[in-house]
Amino acid sequence: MKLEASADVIRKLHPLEFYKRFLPEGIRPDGRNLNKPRVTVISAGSLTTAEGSALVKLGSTSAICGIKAEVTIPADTEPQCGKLVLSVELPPLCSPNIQRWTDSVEQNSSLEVQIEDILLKTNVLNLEALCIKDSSAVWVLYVDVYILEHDGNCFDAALLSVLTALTNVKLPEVEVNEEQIVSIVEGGSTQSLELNHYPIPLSFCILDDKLLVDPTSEEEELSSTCFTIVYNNRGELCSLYKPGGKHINDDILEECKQTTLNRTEHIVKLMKQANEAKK
Amino acid sequence: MYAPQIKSVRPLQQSDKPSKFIGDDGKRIDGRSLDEFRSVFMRTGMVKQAKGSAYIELNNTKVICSAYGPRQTNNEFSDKGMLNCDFKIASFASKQRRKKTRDEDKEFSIYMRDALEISVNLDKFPKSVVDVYALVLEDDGSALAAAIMCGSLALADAGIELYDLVGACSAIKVDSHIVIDPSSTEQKYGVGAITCAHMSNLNEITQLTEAGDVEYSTMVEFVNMCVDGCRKMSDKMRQTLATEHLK
Amino acid sequence: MSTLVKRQKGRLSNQLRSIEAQLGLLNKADGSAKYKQGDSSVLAAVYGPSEVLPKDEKGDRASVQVVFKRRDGKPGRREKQNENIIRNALEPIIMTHLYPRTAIMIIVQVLVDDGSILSVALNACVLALMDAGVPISTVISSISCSIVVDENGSQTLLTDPDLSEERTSIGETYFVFDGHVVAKTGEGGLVSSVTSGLLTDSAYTSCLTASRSGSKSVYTFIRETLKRKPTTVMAPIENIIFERDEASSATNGSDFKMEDEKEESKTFSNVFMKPI
Repeated sequence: MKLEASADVIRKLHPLEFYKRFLPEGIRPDGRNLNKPRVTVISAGSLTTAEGSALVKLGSTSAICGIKAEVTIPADTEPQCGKLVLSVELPPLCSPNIQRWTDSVEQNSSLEVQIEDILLKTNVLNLEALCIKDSSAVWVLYVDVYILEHDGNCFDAALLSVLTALTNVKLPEVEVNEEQIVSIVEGGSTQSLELNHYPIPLSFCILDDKLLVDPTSEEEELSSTCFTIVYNNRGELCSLYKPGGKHINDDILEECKQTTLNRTEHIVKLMKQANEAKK
Repeated sequence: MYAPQIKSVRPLQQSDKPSKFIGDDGKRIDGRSLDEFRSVFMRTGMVKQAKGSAYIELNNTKVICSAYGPRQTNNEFSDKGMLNCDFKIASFASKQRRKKTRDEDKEFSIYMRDALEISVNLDKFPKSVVDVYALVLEDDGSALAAAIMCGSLALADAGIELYDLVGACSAIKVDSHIVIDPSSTEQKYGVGAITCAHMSNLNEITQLTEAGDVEYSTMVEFVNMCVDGCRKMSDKMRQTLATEHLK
Repeated sequence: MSTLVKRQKGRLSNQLRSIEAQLGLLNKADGSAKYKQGDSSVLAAVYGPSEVLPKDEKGDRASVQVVFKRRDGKPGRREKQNENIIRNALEPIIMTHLYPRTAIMIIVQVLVDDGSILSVALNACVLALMDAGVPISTVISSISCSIVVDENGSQTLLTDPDLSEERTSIGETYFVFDGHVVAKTGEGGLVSSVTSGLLTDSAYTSCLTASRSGSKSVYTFIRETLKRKPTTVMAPIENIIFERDEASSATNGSDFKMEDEKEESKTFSNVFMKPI
């Protein structure tokens, strides 16, 4: 029997060799150049039950974020600050490598910590704006992200979906009566949230000593290191996250920083367009 | 200094119960007749990483579903394949925020498996398992029915051998009228909810759940309405598959 | 950015706290190390290569697991993230392909948290791995930095911050560098970078430079510690040579040849094998 090795078979059996045929030509198997991110699609407000929502697609990676707002009592230490509770889930439907909800706990908490650090430590959102009545009632925003398909670079998709959903939030007007009962004002106006700045991420990986932008899951798996750079629209560095892997030199780092900076404007525009379209 | 004590901190949800579910002209609140579905949208092949996937919208009820397999199982040897279903409602899917783990999801996972298992030719993949995962992104009533149909479409999209497509339909009694494909308001205030899964070509009911107060005499009427609904949905599913796969 | 500011206990802004290490404290672990930077102190233990649970088994290499334990409090997602960061930095330097279908378990126990805890933990892990005789391809070392703002609004960079400095900081960075690369070329070699807070480009670059020179000291310290450890060293102390020519002559006898950089570490692990 003659065995014919089709491209798909080689891709499955010797993925690295498969990639080594492409990368020196400056092109990737999905037709992109090495420094080209995938098509980014941002849409806002598709869920009617959430106070704010967004769907972000990076190629086939997609993340949906819904924000539910509830009223709660503020912490004694910060009587004027609202709260933000973030959770990221990689449900088993998003990838063949995750078979149970518990399989992705590690990735979930890693994404949660990274996004939470960016939102809270770089002061993206004024938590004081979520105050309803000093030391008695504040809004708590439950920000839940579900990755609907994991084809690499979940972090970028998740962060972008959270940001878009935050700009999309419509809080109802509420009042607190003498008995301290909070209720929604009927026919009242809605309040949206102002973000201080927009931290825009871009991820990279190094595969066969070549720098690839916005890697797919296959590329992530084969790569020797992956890292993410986050710049905001004011040109400040919000995060440079490289958990490990092979060492890189400073020139590559500079190059990546520039690429990220150049992309921020485009993405912020997409985000604003998505919100405009909903209005 | 004590902060003033708060009695209630949750915004009070205004009661959304309408005075009448069925108007004088015999139409429901959203203008549908008793046996009319909401606008339906179906698509397959959304999740490229999965073997098969599907997405269903029943107006605001949105369900995404993907199927993986047949793949290796760690369970004991079995000469028949297994079907594993997982049903989950996203925390932002309904008006009140949901907790992460709920018993209802487990229960519905089992209903979903029961509804789909019979339609799959399990003899074709011994020792292995097919996983079907459903995630409800928004729940505006009839989420289980939507998930069952979505699962069946995902299985078909994955190329798993099926005896028939499984259509599903819910029905509920409001204002002493039986209505199919209830919205979340109707579901909240109705009594005697039924969800029925049905294979139209073989004319077999694969799964039937009933909860609440249904009179014995009206049960048959309930089931008949559901089965009619299932037939309509199966046709729609078949069309969807044909247009997406026979391009 | 001003660099020379007096800190608590008369420390300069670019000065590390005093470093201490002790190897082989635990009897049952295959390797262990207690590492201190000022008051921050961490105990790391290495078990393995040993048996692996079927779900973690990898056909072509050892699976590396890290457990990060605080002194008190329930382990939450921040601890998970720390485990993740430490594992990601260590896994590539451990020569896991030599031990397929096994597990290498690294337990990190924080004894005192007085700032820069992630860096201290990583350095402790590297020492514990060497103490266990697990072959590693290079030595990595880590340093954290904080950026604080004074009343005039000018930013100051503090290397190896303690807890009080971390609390007042507006930005923090954690870096891991490949010691061999930095020693050879004096630049590059960035293995890990984790930042939090808003940083300007120049602030990030100065943190990077400061950490790189700081990590060099830690790297030297790690090597010195192993030289001075008499109980686990088989060969006489004079024979521990890191130079390339010595290393290659020692591997001549072995039946497989490895790449240059790995060759060096192979002898390295041979020398540090425990006596049976």
